[in-house]
Amino acid sequence: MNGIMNDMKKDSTTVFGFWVYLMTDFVLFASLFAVYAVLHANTFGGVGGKDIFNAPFVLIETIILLTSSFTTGLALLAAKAGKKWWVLILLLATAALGAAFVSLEFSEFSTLVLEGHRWTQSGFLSAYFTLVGTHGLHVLIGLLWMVALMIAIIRHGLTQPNMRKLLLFSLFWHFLDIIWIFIFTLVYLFGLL
Amino acid sequence: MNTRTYFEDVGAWPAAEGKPHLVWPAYVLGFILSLLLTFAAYGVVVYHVLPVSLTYVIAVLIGLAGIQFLVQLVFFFHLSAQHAARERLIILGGTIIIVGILLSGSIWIMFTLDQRMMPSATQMTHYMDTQAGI
Repeated sequence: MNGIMNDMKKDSTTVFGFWVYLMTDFVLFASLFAVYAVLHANTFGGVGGKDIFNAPFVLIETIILLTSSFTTGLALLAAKAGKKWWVLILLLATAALGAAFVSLEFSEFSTLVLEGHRWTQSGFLSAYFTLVGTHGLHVLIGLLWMVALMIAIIRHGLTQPNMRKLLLFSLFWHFLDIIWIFIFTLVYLFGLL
Repeated sequence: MNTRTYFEDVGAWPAAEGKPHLVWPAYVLGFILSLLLTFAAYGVVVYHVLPVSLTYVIAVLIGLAGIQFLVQLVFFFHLSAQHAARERLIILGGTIIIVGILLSGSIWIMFTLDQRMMPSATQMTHYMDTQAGI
């Protein structure tokens, strides 16, 4: 019993440590937001936000990411109820939505580059690609994490280490959702004004 | 380890003492509110549902993003004033202060740079010419 209590204490410390990591990531994104805020008007005679942002496209991306955040929450509820296969199904749904998000973002980026609007073009495009790309990279890492997590759950079930990993992953994924809300508002909607 | 109470035991979710746990409705409510706030912001920009000036539109958009931030913190991260969540709240508060200084400081300094620049020689001569008594 004492051993179990110690394990719980260790896990709650891990959760707090992960939270501290998320806060440092928050500061990283804030720096990129500050760079974007400073450089967004420096288009060097090239395209600005109004010319390249597609409102319905970004709305779909936002709904996809919001829904994936919701399915992560449901996966945690399934884990709480001890339903291993529901956890896997919901994680698979989250991964599918995350993959859809990343591929939409990739198609957006590749269209821009193919049209000649590269990140070397202007301060605006450099800041835009860096901010949105860093978020996309985080989502991609989250996808890899999800694959590893699903394999671990299939092999060992809802053990304590897997419950901990699932909880940390959910925090990471909700965090990316929050960052995206600010990208949606401050980059895309402000750019379309 | 009991999966039923694991998230509460490690302090990630509020501990259910006596009353039933309300995490399930929290996710549904958080999801619906997030969608509504997103659609509201989208409607303001794309369909111009608010017939107000640009300054007010910007204020409304920042407000909607701020509300969504709080909604997700409460309903998805289960943050509350409860003891286990308090240390996370404190470090979040500190981070928000740093982020605020970082953002407002960068914007303020970079958009008022001209006021802190030394004037050019011609500007200086012109200034001295136009000032009586110099």
